[in-house]
Amino acid sequence: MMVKFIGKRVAYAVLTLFLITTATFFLVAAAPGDPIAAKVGQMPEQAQEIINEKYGFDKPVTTRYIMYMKNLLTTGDFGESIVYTGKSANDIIKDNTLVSAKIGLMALVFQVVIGVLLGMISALNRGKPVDHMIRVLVVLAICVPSFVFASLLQYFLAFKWKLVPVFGWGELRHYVLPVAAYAIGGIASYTKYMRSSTLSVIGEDYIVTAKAKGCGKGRVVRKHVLRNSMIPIVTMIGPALAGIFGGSFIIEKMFSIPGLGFYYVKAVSDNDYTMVIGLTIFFALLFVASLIVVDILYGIVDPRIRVAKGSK
Amino acid sequence: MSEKILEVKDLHVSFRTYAGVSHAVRGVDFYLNKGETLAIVGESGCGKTVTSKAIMGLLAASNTDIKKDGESAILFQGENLLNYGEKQMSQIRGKRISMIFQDPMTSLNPTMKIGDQIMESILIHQKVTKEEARKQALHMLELVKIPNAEERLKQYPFEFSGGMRQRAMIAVALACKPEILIADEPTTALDVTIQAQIMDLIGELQKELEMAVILVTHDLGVVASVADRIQVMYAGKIVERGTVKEIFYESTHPYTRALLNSVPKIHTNNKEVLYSLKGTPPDLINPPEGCSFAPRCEYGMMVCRKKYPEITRFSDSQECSCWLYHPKADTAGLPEGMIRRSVK
Repeated sequence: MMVKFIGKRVAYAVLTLFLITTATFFLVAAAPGDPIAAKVGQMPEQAQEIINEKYGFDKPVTTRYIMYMKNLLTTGDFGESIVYTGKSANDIIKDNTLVSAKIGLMALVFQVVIGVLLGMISALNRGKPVDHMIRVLVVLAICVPSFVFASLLQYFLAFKWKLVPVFGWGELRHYVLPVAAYAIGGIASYTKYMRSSTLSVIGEDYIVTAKAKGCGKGRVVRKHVLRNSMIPIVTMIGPALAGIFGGSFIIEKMFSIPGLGFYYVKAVSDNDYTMVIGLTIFFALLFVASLIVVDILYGIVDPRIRVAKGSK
Repeated sequence: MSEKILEVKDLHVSFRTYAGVSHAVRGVDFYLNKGETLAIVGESGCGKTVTSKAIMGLLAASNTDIKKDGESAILFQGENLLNYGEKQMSQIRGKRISMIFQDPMTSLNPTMKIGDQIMESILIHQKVTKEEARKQALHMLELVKIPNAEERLKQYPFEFSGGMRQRAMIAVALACKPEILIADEPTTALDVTIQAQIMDLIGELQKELEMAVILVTHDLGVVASVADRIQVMYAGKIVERGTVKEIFYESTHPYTRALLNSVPKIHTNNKEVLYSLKGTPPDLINPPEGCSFAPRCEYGMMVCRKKYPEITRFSDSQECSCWLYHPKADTAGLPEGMIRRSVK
């Protein structure tokens, strides 16, 4: 049953990816401007012909689309970058995904763990000073953009107190600031969601049942509140999981980290269409895959959704 | 002869709300004998559930006040539960006093296997291994007549029907063989045929485990066949109490009579209009000074609205708070049953 369920989801995912690829291709093709038109104009005719043949600019859009898809499906190649000659979009993805993913994953772990913890504390102490304090901090952290945090962190931790380097890449100490700056907003939103879902779970009848059984306060929270209030959090982790590979353009730019987000934005401004399409497909793939992962995770947390059970 | 296992004395519970302090229970006294079934009957919002939750210590501390001084006490085997802390109470809950609730659809944890939910109370209160607890849980499921108990232990609540869930709830509540079971509207959310099954089941288990049952309900029909004694609550007070026979055949309080009249009879035909009591219970934030039923009462007198009536005793078991039984009350126009009582 589980295999069938996953198989079905994968089939839908493939269809989704196909649609996204097609849409992106035509949208990018329809965009005004040409990445090499300016350069081509100054080239001798022969060179122009070679370039046109290589990228197929002289052919109609539909023919190019068929060429592109054929190439993509047979070799899995997104095509050569127009700006970084000799490098294909695949190379860029290969070289830089891990960088973004490392920061993103670390940040996500902090976000979920700290967020869930703070949210629970806040909800369990509803109306008390701790709760008010956490809520004020959450609103602050959500409202203030991440680059403000990044600069504050850089100013105090790196520049004033010299605890960590201001920017750079390669060693563990370089991770501290970007991960912290990246995580803060997420911590706040996970706290917020966890607080409200915990509050609604606390009001449920089965919590009264648990108390009526003789569960102590700690046991009620561990055995009955936690799992049920984690359900909405799991939904949020899915898209976030896809997001971590993309990285954060702002954070990567501020700390000079060679991540994928950095290249993505640059590709758009360069009109580097092979890169844009390639990266879009890659992100879409991650997103769709992460949604499947979430569905499976969901089943583990919430038995009602577990389709595997359908034996009878 | 009979031994009092629980005695509630002068119980007052009030809630602090935004609108003001709501006096949900206003001086309730009653006792429960070993092995008997006591029914607490009344409309929604009359304080039945609050009374039972107060016994269990399940009312949220943050906005609830329970009177603890003076005569007020909840005596369980001679111990005053009102003086117990959260920790002491959790050792009594589920082990010596258990409770089942109105809605079996929401009273079980949706993400926990039924078996684990039954085992939980066993593991909390008894020093047994997991394996032993599992065996006991299995036995409990068989006791509440759930077929394929072995398999059902591994299932989740959503795989159970409503009636099955209430059975599972009963298994959870009775896993440690408590001395008292408080059943708060246990059949209200179930359809009629299942209601009867569940009531029969509770009755059987009561005999088998020799426990006392407090049955909280608004449905007199449910009460008739299972209860030993009935007490009728209205607006946070007990207005009449008596044995089942006394309440069904010789009820004295106009409110009890109204409740009885609003139960459809087997010989009622579709041309008759079913009696329904007009009006709504009073606002408990500003409870009336006199008898709280007076505004809805067919026989209301001047005095009813001014002063709360004294208790009139009719027998060892039956008593009622109503001005109609005062020696000076005008009994003309009362139905026959009530006159007979009042003349005595």
